[in-house]
Amino acid sequence: MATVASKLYSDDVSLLVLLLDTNPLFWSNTSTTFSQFLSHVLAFLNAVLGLNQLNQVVVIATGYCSCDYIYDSSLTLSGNSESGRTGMPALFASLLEKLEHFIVKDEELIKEQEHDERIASSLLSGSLSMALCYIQRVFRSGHLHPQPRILCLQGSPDGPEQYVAVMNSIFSAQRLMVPIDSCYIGTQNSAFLQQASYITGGVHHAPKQLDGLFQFLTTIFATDLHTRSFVQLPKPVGVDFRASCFCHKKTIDMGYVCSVCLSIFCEHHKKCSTCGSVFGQSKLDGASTVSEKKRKAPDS
Amino acid sequence: MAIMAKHVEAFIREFFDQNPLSQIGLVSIKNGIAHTLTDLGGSPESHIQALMGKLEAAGDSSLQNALELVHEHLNQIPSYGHREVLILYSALSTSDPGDIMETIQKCKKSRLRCSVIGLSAEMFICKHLCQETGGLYSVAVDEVHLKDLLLEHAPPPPAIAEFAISNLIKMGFPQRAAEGSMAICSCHKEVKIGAGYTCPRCKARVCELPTECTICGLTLVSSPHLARSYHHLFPIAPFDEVPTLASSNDPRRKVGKSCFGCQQSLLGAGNKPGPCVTCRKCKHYFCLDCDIYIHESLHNCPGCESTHRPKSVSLMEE
Repeated sequence: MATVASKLYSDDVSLLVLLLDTNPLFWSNTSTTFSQFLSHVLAFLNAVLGLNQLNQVVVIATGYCSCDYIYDSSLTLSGNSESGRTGMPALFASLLEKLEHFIVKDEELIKEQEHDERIASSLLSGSLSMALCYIQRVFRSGHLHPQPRILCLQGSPDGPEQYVAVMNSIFSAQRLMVPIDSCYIGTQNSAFLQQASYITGGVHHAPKQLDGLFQFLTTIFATDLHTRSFVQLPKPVGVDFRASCFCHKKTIDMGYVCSVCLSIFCEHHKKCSTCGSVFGQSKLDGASTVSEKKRKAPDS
Repeated sequence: MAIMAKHVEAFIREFFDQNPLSQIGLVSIKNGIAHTLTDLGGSPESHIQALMGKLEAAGDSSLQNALELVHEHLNQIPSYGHREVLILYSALSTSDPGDIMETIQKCKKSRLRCSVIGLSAEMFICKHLCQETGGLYSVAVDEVHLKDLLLEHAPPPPAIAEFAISNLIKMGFPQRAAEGSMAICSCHKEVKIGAGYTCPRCKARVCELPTECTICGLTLVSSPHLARSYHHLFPIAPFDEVPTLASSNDPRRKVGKSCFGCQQSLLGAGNKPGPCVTCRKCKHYFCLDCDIYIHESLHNCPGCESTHRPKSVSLMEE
């Protein structure tokens, strides 16, 4: 029996944790509607489940104010097979119902808060953390488990205030050897997703037009980890390694770093707000780099 | 010799893993003189390559020459950096051109911390050197012991607060160029295809991070290197344990039937509430396994991360 089970759980059984961006502030400004997008995604999920009968799919919605699990294929497989009221396959009736519920709740939360002029970013750090917790639970369940991977379907721009949390999740995923694939459907480039995929060894792709999203999803992101060694996947077109500063939560490519605690600031401060150490003068810092360069010149 | 090189390689990798911003320089001691194998630099690959290329032992060894050379190298480091020397010494004697005691005093004055791992027998001069400069002296008895001793030196020594002058260092976070793009790199002055980084200030191309831009002198680091240590700066508060008896009367408890992190049911045997913990800030419930994972590896509370914080609050927290 054990051998049968281990044969079933060969290296191409996968657990796909899909992080679905449901940020209403993003979806109200795009050319593609959310329902069009959703139909691509549902077809993709069906395809993934059809590739192997042991494949598992978990969907986590990433909203503007909250994150929640909206679908877990391991829970619904044994459930009732009555077709949903929308005429959808039974498998996805519950997903749609929960998603609707989630979006309504998320919108209520948005209304509760006063509107400040901020970037309409969704809570990627929260859904990444939840996905990793779920994967950790799968790892705990024994040595026969599907190969987990995370796919972020993200459209909203990065929220620089989530920088530390997102990086923590990325490093944790790297330690667990869980690749984070990312498909960015927004207009700007996402430094978070590029770094996440680069560090964890996942695939990052930003399709230029969303009409053929289903093709992109099935040809790139449906491939399991074993198949990837044989497939020519899109190569990264550069990785954006910019960081966010701690003081104004801005994304910067050049900044000041505290020599004690490595906090990043966008301008010169007298005192480090994180560790409290007092800094010397900035002129000294500028002079030392020049003199160092001069000193190095005769050597080389 | 091969064994030593193997362990030094492991040491270099471990060292850079633990001290991503530090630099290493390699010096070989043979035939009575000290040679610089590699200048101070931050890329593990180039050090390991140089180390593997120059593997031979010959002649006398001179501790003084080595110290003088190292002193010269380390003296240019700014005051906020730690200056450390780790010597793997296998000879039983040292033949020096001058007075080694003077050199030791010189090292002490410029705050070089010298540690020695002896590969044969204990020597007075090594012990003296370590005592004077505040380093560690140890003699390896066998291969495993050598490895342990080496790796002991990888974590940074406790900071010497009075010497360390904190400073803000200007740094650049270069972008990685597209795979397959062609450019001439400024560090090797060769045409390279593919992966390279572009200095944000002068747009020069460099091959590896962390480094110093050869054109404008800006320190270039990759931001993930820095971010690796951030969980020390913003630790998450320990979760509170939920008392199992009182919780059954708690109306909020009905909401938290499953772990917020992994959706595992929190109900124990016989539908009685099992052990669980809760975050003080976001009041979400977690199972014990997630608690361990969150605090030891993830360093994020999934509950707090999935609630939208108003800007004013997040600024006050820091």
